Amino acid sequence: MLDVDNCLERLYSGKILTEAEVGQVCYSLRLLLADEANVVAIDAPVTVIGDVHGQFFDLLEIFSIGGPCPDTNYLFLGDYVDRGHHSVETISLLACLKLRYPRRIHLLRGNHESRNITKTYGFYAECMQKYQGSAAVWREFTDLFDYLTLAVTIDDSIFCVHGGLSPSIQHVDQLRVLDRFEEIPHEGALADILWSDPDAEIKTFGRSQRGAGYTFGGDIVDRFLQINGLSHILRAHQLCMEGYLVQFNDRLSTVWSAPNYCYRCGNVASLLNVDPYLKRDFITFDAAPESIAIVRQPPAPAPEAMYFL
Amino acid sequence: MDLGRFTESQRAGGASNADHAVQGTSNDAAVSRESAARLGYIADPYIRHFVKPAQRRAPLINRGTFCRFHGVQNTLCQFIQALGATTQASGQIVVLGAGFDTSFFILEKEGLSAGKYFEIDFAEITAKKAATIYRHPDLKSLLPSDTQVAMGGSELHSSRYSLLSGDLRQFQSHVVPKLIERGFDPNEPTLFLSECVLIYLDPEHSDHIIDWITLSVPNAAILTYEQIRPDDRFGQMMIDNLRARQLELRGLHAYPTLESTSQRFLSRGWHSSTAVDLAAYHDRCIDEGERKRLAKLEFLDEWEEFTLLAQHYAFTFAYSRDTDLFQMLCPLK
Repeated sequence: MLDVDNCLERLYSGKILTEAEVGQVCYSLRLLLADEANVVAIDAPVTVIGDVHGQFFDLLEIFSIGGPCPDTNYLFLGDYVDRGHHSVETISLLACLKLRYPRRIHLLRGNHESRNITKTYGFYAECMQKYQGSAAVWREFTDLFDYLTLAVTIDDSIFCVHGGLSPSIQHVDQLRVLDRFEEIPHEGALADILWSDPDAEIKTFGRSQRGAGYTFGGDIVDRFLQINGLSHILRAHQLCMEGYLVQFNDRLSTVWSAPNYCYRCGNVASLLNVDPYLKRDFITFDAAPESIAIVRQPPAPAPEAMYFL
Repeated sequence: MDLGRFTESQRAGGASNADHAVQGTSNDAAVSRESAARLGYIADPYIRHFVKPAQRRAPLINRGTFCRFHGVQNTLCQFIQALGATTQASGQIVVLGAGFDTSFFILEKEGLSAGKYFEIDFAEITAKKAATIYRHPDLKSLLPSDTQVAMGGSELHSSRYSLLSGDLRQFQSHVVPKLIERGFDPNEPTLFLSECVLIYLDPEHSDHIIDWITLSVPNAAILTYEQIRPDDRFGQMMIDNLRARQLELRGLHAYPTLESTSQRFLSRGWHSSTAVDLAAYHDRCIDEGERKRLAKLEFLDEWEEFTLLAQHYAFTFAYSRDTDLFQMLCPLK
């Protein structure tokens, strides 16, 4: 019988779960998430978190600033793994929190919650290394990723998604009827909402440099909000040097929660408090000292992998 | 191995943790190059001989390595082709801090060569390089037939290609005499290359090298690829991260901008100098077809980060005189 509280205690101290425990957590969580809709309605107040990307010490910093879960309601916008060196610890902790407090923490799927992407950007390699060459943990988590919900609405007013909008989705109901329980495809609505980016320089949809999803202009944002009776879009997915970016006359915000991204970008991060009156308030924060130290001490992967020397 | 030589260079250069860290960057550059070659970004069939174990770099590093390789190879090829097209001169190429660079062999295989090609690095590096070249027939067979091993294995001498050991901090006193001894002719049109090399020297030492070139080589061109922009948060983090691993970017504050890296040469009377950061180079100098090809190799989900990183590196291309030869060279367009 899985003792989730015991798992949480170990995870908060930076230890990882056993392969068997990961299997049990993911199995139970998949059952729970199977009953979650593609678009989940939640109430304010809630603290919204952008990309974390395996920066575990900075995740602990987030809980320190925002308040512990479940005392604070949390909504994470995806991209828990890859790039940082503690993706296993990060996703393990968040998965256990979701299992333990399913109504207090919501986890959206990001474009990195994918088998293909995690093979290139670090999560697969980290799992193999931390679990002695076994890919089982990676398989469990990537199977779990297929179950993560796609979007959240806060008080039926703020629409939250990882990437952005899709030419295939004008109405939120179109998202509700998608079959989300699969690997992120290369194109289509599911790919778009996880990969797209706003672009203040364009109108309508444009081609994305990322190779998936689209760019979309302010006219698309306005139309989406109007058709769906919403007031604001919250998303993540793009690095913000100042931790967040508000665009389109305060109709769309990007929240970025990985400070000093990849231990090199020097950026500040933010978390977003949405109060019971839907007032939005960004709190910025710097990298935790443990995070800064990671690439400065052997044997952690060193600057030669981060710069051109 | 000529241990006496090492001792002398250690005494003279003050080999230390810092020197070892700088020498280590040859390995790092080689690993990045091998990653890009193995994944199909660049064509370098030789770099794998210098790398063990191989590592796969992140997509944005592979993309940046492609741009770096593109800029350097482009410049080398344009120089060699322009030599043939405009002068009777045979020309020279001098690579400062060459590390495990394989450009000589890549060019040789393509049948492209200048009159003389010189590579200079610390003896610790050149010894490893020479030994590796001799261990692999595909490299060894490309050496000129009159190549001889010298200096206890830390140098290779031939009429067309010289691998020389030396400390760039003693450029005029120790490196120049070696170049001259190996047939370097200051009157030949010469292309100098520095890829993340001058940046590790105190400006006093790197400027000394440029002063010598200015005074002694009337028809000189130079391509540098170095870090810039120390003053923003990314730059500060880069300096601190590298410093923690004993790598000091000593020249960075002296030449922190595109403007100043160009002024470095213009202020010495060089005829022309252009500088472009790697992000702009990627956007402007790599054609659409190539960028599509790269996108198929790896999904680059790191654009903001790539731009941020690439903006902190710059190519500077300068030439001293407005000759027909140099007018043909526009590698940064």
